[in-house]
Amino acid sequence: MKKLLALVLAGVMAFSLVACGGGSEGGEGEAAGDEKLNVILVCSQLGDKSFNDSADAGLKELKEEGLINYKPLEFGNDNSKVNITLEEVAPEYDVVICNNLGYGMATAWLRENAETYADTMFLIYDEPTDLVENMPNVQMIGYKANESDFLAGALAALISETGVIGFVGGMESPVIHDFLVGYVEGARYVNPDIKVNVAYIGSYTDAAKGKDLGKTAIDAGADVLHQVAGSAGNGYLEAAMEAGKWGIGVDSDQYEVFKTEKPDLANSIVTSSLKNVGLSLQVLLREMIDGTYEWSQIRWFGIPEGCAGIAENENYLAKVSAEDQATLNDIKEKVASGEIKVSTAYGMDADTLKTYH
Amino acid sequence: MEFLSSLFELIFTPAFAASVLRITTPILFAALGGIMARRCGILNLALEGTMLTAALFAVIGSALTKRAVLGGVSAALADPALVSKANFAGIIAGFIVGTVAGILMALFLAYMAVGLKADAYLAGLAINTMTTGGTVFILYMVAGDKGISSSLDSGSMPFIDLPIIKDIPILGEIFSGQNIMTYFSWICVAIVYFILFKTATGLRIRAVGETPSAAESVGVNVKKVQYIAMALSGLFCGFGGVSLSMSYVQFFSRGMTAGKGFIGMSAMNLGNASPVGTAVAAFLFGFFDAMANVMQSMSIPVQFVQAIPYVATLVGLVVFAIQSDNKVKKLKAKQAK
Repeated sequence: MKKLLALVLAGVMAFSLVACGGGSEGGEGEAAGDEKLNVILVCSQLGDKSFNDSADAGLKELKEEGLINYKPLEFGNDNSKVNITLEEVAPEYDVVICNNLGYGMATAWLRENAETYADTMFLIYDEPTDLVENMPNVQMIGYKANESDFLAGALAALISETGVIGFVGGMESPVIHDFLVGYVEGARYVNPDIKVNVAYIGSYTDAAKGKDLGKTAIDAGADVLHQVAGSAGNGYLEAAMEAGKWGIGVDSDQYEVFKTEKPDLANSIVTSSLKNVGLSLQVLLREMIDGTYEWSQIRWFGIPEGCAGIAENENYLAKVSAEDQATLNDIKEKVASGEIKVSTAYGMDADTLKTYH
Repeated sequence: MEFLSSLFELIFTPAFAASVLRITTPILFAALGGIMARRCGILNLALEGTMLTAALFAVIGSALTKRAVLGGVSAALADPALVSKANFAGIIAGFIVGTVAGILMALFLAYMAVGLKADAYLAGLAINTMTTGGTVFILYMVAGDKGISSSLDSGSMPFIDLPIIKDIPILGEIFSGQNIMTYFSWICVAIVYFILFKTATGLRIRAVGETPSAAESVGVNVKKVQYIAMALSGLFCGFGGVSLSMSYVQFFSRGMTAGKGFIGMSAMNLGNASPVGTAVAAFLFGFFDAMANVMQSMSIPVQFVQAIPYVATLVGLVVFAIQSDNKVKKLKAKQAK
C-alpha cells in the first residue's frame, strides 16, 4: 500500500512539474552586465501549430542571433492563472509578450496594472483594439487577416468548379469575422456570383463537429473548404480530403504540418492563409533594440511586412495553374499597394456583417 | 412557412439521414457504457474522460504499431504489400489498445467507487478533469504534439458497402457506406440487451444495481459484479473513443469528445437504461445535432442553432421526468384502492 501511495505521489509530482513548467524559474540570464532584453512569451499552451508556435519560433530565432534572452511560459488551460502569471512575470522581464489571454483577462489586468509596471513593455498580439488605451508600455498588434483571406478567397473562387466554396469558423468573434470578410470579398472579386457556405463549430476543439460541417458544406455543393477554427478545423479539412475536394488551412502552413505523417491530407491543402506572428514580433523587438521603436495604439502587420498572405509552398505551385498564380500575384500586389481596399470586420456593424454570411 | 419548407428540404435527404447515423455512433457507444454502469448501481460520470482516453490510445496504438511493422521505412516508399499489412496491423492494434485503455479507465473509477468507497460522482468528475490535461500530456510525451496528433500516422476503420442494400435507391445511400464502427454500434445494442437480460451475469448486475443487500444475502459477490459491470462500461466507452479518433476523424485532438460522453449519459437516462430506449434517445440527439449542422446555412443566429442539441436534451429529460412521475402516481392510486 505504501509503495502504491509513493508511486501515486511521484506521478502527481511529475504532472505538476509539467503543468507549471518553468513558472518559478523567472529571470534567467539576468546576470550583471547583461544588456540584452529579457523577453518572455506567456501563452496557455505551445504546440498549437499555429500562432503561439509561430511567436515562439520567431523569438527563438532572435535568441539564437544573440539579440535577446528569451523563454516561453505555458500556464495551461486554467484561465484563473492569467492574472497571477502576469503579476509574477511583469517585474522580472523587460518585454512580456502574450495574446489577450483568457478571452480578455490579459487586457483587463493591464488596464489596472500597466502603470505599476511602467518599466516593462507588453506586446499583445492578435488584439487590434483599444481595450488598453493610451498606455505607452502596452502595444497592441493586429494582423490583416482580411488581406490574407482576400487572397485565399480569390484562390478558392479561381479553383472552384461548382461556384460554391465553404468557410468554417471556430466561434463568432471579430478576429474570425475579419477572416470571413476578406475571404468573401476576395471570392467575389474573382467571381461576383460565388456562393459561400458559412458555418461555425462553436468550439476550437470539436474536430468531429468540424468534419460534420465539412460534409454538410460538400453536400451543399462546396468544393473548396477553408477552416479558421484551430484544431477543430482539421476535421473540416479532412472532410474535404475524403471527398476529393480542396482545403485551405489557416495561420501556419498546414501543408508543412501534415506533409510527413499525413501526406493525403497535406496534398489536399492547396494553401494556407498565413498570420506570421513570429516575424511581427521580430520586427518590433529589433526596433526596440535599435531604438527606432515608436509607440502607437495599434500596430498593423499585413502583406507588405510579410506577415499576411497565403502559403506559396510546393503543393501550391504544383496544384494551382500558372495562369491562376499570375492572377493571384497581381491581386496580391494590388492589395499590398492599396489599390484594392479590403474591408475589415473590426468596427463593422452587425447588419453589414450579415451580408457576408 | 418558408422557413419550414426550406428546413424540410434540407432534412429530407438521404445525405442528412446518413449523417444522423454517423453522428449518433459515438453518442450511442457512450450511452451503452452508461447503461452497464447504471445497471450495477453506479452513475458513471467519467464516460467523457474514458472516451477521450480511449480515443488517444487508439491513435497511439495504431500509429506506433504501423511504424513498427514498416520498420522505419516511409509509407510512401515501402513495398505496397508491407504497407497494407502495416495498415491492417495498425487498425487492429488501435482498436485493441483504445478499448483496453477505456476498460482500464472505467476500472480505475470502479476501484475508487467500489474498492475505496469514494463518491462515484466526484471520482467521475475528477477523471474527466484529469483526462483533459492528461491526454495532452501523454500525447506530448509520445509524439511531441500538444493540440492534434499530426505526427502520428494512425489508421482508419474501414467504410463498408452493404451488399444488396447498397443497390436499393434511397435506403442504400442512407445505410450503406457507413463506417464499420457505426454498424458495430447497432450490434452492441443487441449485445448489451443479451448480456443484461439473457445471461446470469446480467441478472446479477441488475440485482446488485437495484438492491445490493438482497443480492448479497443470496450469496452474490457484489463488489465482483460491480467490477465486471464497470469493465463492460469501459469496453463500450472504449469503442466510442475508437470510433471518434479512428472512424469519425483520423486523428486525436485535444478535448475532441466535446461533451459527447455527457450527451450519451443523457440518452441513457432518457432511455431509462434500457438498451433499445437508450438507442432511440441517442438517435434523437444525433438527429438534432445533424439538424443543427444543416440549419447553419439558414439565416438563424448561430448561437441558437448550436444550442439545439442541448435544449433537446433538456426537453427530453423533462418529458421523461413527467412521465415517470405520472407512472408513480398511477401506481400509488392503484395501491390506495
